[in-house]
Amino acid sequence: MNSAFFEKSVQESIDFQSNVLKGIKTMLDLPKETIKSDLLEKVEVFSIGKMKLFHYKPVKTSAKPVKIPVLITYALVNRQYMMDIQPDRSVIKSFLESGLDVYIIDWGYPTAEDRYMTMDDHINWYMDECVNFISKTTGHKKINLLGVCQGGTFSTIYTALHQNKINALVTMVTPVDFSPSDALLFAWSKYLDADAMVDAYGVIPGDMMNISFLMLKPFSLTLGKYIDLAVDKKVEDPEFLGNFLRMEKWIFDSPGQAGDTLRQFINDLYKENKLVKGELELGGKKVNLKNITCPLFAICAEYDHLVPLSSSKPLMDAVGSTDKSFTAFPVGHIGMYVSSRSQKEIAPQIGRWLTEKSK
Amino acid sequence: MSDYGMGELFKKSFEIQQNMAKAWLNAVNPPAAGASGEKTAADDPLAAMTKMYQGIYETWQKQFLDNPWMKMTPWSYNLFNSENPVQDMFNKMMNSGKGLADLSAVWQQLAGKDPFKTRDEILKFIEDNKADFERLSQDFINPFIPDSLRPLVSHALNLVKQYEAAGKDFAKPWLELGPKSAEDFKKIAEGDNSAYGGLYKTLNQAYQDSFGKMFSAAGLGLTREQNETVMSQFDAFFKMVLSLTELMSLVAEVARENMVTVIEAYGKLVAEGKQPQTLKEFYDIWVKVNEDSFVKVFGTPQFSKIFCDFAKKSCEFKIYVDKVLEQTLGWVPFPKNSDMVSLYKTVYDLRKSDHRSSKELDEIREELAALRAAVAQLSNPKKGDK
Repeated sequence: MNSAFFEKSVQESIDFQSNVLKGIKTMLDLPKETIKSDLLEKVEVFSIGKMKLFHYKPVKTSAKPVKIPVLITYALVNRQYMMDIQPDRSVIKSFLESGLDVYIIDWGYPTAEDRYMTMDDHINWYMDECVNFISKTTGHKKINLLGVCQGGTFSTIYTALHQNKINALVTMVTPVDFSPSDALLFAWSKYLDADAMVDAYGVIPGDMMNISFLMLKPFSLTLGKYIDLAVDKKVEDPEFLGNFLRMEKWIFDSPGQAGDTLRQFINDLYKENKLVKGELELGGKKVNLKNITCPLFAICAEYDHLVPLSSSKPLMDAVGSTDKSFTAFPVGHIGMYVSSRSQKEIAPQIGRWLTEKSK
Repeated sequence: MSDYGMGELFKKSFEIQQNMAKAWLNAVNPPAAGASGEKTAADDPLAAMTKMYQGIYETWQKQFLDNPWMKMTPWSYNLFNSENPVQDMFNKMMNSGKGLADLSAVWQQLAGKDPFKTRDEILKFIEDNKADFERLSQDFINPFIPDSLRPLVSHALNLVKQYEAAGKDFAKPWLELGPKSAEDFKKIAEGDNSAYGGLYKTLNQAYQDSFGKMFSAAGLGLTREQNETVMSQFDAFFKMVLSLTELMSLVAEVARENMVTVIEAYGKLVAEGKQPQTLKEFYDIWVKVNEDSFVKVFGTPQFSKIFCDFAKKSCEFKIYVDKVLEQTLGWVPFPKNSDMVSLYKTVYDLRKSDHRSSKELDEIREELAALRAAVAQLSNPKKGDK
């Protein structure tokens, strides 16, 4: 028996236990407010059902105010405060510092009575009412629209149906073409029986979505992340732990999914890919992406394991816009908002683009 | 903030562990096998030590979960408990630590051996240490499964063993009606566990052709409808468990193949003199092989079909459970799920109707405003207008 090997193993095990306890002690001393996100000041200006429209208060900035407001539409599957996860990693703060006038939709947490809400309701009713409200209160006939992930899909559909109300469109990590199978969600959705899920649950529990997301990186997101935390020397650093806990909170804060919306999203988009084919119908109208003629800025993440580039890029050829640009950044799906690159490059670039298109 | 003396307690516990390890090492003489030829703790102190750490982790977890003071705070094991994030993190780190400890059991078995020369030797090693591998698999699967569903999964995993036994006795003549299942049995008997996937598929079909028909047959009598629903629930349950078993057998097979890959990679590193020096280094190899492999397997049509089939069967089971509950509680004077669903639909339709009416009113108001403006224009023409 190699005694040095044995002693090393024992010491390794003890170090692990010791680190866990140091981490726990540090966490016990963290004030509860530490894991709060969404700290930028904002005001609720409008609401329908559980959906709330918030208007961010301007921040002190040397940038000139951009007159045309921007409405941010996030996905339904996660919470929008990812974009303001903490003060030094806030895409929204960066937008405000660019002089943008920012509104954001908070879809809320669907409960049992929301089971019959459809994509048409979310897009042609809730989003449309928000756009109308902002237009009316700001006096701008057209506003800017920024959609994130599934929210980008919704924003794209909305613009195709209501181009007369949109000045410019930004899509971030947005799936448009659902035919690729090089991402797990796309591969699974081809065989998923959405009807059975909706019939069983009505509003699909957020936990089910969480489990699917964990399976996208089964070892890293279950065992690996916590082992890495336990062996990391920074486990005693309150700031490091605070960041970790904030992300943990967001990752598992998945709202339930309104059944009829999820049913159509899976059946019409993931399975039959109706959007790029021009076959999607909403509120009795066909969604024709060629109707999008406003300036378009599509942003993607090169290492996106949720929405591959092959799903986002087809938007460029599908729209009727002549003023359009596509950029892929070397980040992951979440890194698009929380990485240092997002603060230094991505958000400011969006701010500059929207400022330019709002003149 | 006070740590209630916990810091001192754990520091003491570390010292005890270190002293025990040193004493053990000093007491160990060159191997003296036991009477039966089995390895003693003196031969393999690392294995005994690992078992002790596993026990410590399990005891700590139990202390935390079974502690009455902790039970006063409601929490959920897997999901983030924002009411008690510290306890949540502790559970996750300790659970991961248990996984690490179980992996170390495997590593320590490997560390004492020369690199395997053939795949058969690796498979024998895995078979000889089956318990360790099964524990490791459980550690990996557990984080995905809420507490309330764990008995179902471990039931399904136990069913794997029960099917093995049942297949050899009762089911064998039944399944051997098909040439495919006979071939699968032959492969299993020869030690090819990959054949279990095919066997469960056949079992699934055989169930649907026999017991499944019984459960979905029409009922008779006054309670015909209730009986049919209960039978349908049983049918849905068995179909769900069969589907889960098929899924678990695929996952188990992939995990086994991955372990073969890890051991082969480890052997190569030993031959080059570059073997991992710490558990963390071995863990890094193990996690990379598994993560890459599982992500690849998860993306295959085969896995997608089985996974989605299990999801569908689970939902169908839930639908029948809800129906049976409603029937059972039919006499109770409070609204049932189906009553509420009907109410939700009515409320939704009313909201939409109200929204449509509001929009129509807004349009009428706009038209009226435009008409008034036009009339005003006509009634009071500006100078110069004709």
